[in-house]
Amino acid sequence: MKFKSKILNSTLGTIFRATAKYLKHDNFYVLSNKIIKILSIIVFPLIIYGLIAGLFLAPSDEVQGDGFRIIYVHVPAAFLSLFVYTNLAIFSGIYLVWRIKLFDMLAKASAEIGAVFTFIALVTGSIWGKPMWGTWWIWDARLTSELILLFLYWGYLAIRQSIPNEKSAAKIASFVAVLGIINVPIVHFSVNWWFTLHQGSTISNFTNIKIASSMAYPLVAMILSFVLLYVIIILLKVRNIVLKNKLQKLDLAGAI
Amino acid sequence: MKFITHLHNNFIIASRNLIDFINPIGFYLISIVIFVFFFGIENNTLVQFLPAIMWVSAFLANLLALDKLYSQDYNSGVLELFLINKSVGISYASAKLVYYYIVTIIPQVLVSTVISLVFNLSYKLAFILAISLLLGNLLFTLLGAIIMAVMVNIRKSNILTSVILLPLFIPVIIFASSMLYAASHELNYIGSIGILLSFGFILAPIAPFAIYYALKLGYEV
Repeated sequence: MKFKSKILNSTLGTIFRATAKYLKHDNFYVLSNKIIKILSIIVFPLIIYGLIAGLFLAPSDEVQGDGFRIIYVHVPAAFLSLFVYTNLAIFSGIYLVWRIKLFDMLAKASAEIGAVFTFIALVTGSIWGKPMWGTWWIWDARLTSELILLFLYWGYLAIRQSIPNEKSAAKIASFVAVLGIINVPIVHFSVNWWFTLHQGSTISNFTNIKIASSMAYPLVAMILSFVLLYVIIILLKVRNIVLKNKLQKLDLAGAI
Repeated sequence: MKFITHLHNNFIIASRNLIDFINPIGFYLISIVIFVFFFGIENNTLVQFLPAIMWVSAFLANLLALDKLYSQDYNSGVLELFLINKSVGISYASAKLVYYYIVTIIPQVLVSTVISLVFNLSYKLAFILAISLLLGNLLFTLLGAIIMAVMVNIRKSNILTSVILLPLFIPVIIFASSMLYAASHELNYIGSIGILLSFGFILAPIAPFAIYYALKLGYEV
């Protein structure tokens, strides 16, 4: 209690109070509509620029030819997979401490999207790996830690699926998500360490290649547009959940 | 209630149903025997894979045993009373951890040491395998007790718990495997022991608090 009041009286508290009115579901519904409209105006030109510049305008790679162009989907998806997990843990932590239901909805939406992005990163990676490395899968450090990240998402979603009571599932899942974020860097470094002990890093050199600016700008554009796309999708998802809850309150869910 | 009182109570209850902590060891032995059937006793593959077999079997046996960690106190309703006071709850949680480690893990490690000597592992490797099991299962107990605490109110959470626990446990598995690899190839394995120990030193003081919080969260649910 003492801790809470201290936070509420600080400058952080004034920011919280200013944003607090958007935590009400009705206000959030209105605000998210505006945000989605603005972001979609930004994201579509950006993604079209990224795709055209990446797939057609950028010069082909000296070693890999045109095969490298899958980077414009693979790297943004891989970036998003970690970014979304961090967001998931932050939302879950906020939900655990302040019990704001909106953040739980955001976390749930994030987990579903993050799992999809992780899966996309793994699949595009193995499609890229087959012609370049000659194998679909290799127990490289990055691949392994990405796979474990997918398992972490899996655990989170499994809790949400298999516990029928919505509220208890939310609490348990957010607790596990917060535990998981402590684990992500440990997994990353331990897997790295495991492989540097065993075998020479022939593949991790490959990721250290600096690319030319005509290749890099579309990549940055794609990463940015993926992030914005993620924001749009979670807002849409949360809007859906808000509507669903409203319907359940009105007892209309059965009719539809 | 003090830590010692909680520990004493736990041991009294354990001494009245001995079968509850003999069963995990039975499961452990049986699962090792199943592996032996597949690998055969002719060549050296069994000795080579024995650490992996023991780790997998210990993992499964502990997963089953951890399921009963709070269930007795939960069913009798005592657990809710322990959680009213913070200091009582934390001493309860730490007593549970110590009790579980003494009653389940240490007999398991003793049995596995005997098995590894029976299967002609060298003394040094058997010793290092025992140390890796002691440290790894300590970490598994700490992590598993936290997860089990948050799931205390959920019925039939067995498979769900294993899906959550496995990815969290992977760093420990990596360091233990590299430690055993180094030991069997005459390399330096002290570093891995140190890292596992440091995980333990970080996690062990936090775990009782985390368990107390998780139990409260689990009860709210």
